[in-house]
Amino acid sequence: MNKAQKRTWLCLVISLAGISLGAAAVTLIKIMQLNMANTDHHTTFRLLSLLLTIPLILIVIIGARFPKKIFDERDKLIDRKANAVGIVGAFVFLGAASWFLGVITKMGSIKVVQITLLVYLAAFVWCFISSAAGLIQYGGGGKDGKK
Amino acid sequence: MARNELKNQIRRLRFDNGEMTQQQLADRVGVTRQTIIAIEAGKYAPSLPLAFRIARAFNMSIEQVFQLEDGEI
Repeated sequence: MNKAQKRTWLCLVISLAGISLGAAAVTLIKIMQLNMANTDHHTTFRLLSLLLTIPLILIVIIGARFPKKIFDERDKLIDRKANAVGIVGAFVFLGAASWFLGVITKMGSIKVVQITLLVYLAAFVWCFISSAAGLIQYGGGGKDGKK
Repeated sequence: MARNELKNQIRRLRFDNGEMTQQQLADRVGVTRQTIIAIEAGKYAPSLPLAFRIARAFNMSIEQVFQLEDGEI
């Protein structure tokens, strides 16, 4: 397993954590809106924002400790394909989530907080899908013998 | 529809050249060992410049290292 693969694994784990936190935040906001009408939403959103920045900080730290290195033409090709798949995945996620919030829930519009969370989640979905696509193309890695 | 499969003799050539390891070949041609593994297994088709570098590492022509097998599907 080369450094590019290790970096991809780390990004996969952190993006998964980011997605989980984002999904938890969306659920929490929804529950609050349904059950606690008098709750101080601003304080909750501030706390959630703080919580959601943790994975972002981790991504920045990983970016600094494991700078993106392209070792050869295969790494370059894998990186390019994985990023393309990630971008498509993020757009599909944004479209599907917006459609769900706007049409299925019959709200007709999306709140600023929700769209902020969607963009946040889309960034992690991009990271997650591109990492997964990269790992699939690497084929697990590190299993082959030296000879 | 024509399907082209790229076969190669890298594994045999490595052993014929003093049991060269994948890492040694990778260092010679400037790629990672994983890329050599992928090429040997036929999972990755190298670019033309890399194919030339690999052939040169064995002092052979590109056709002696890589063969294109045509097949109809």
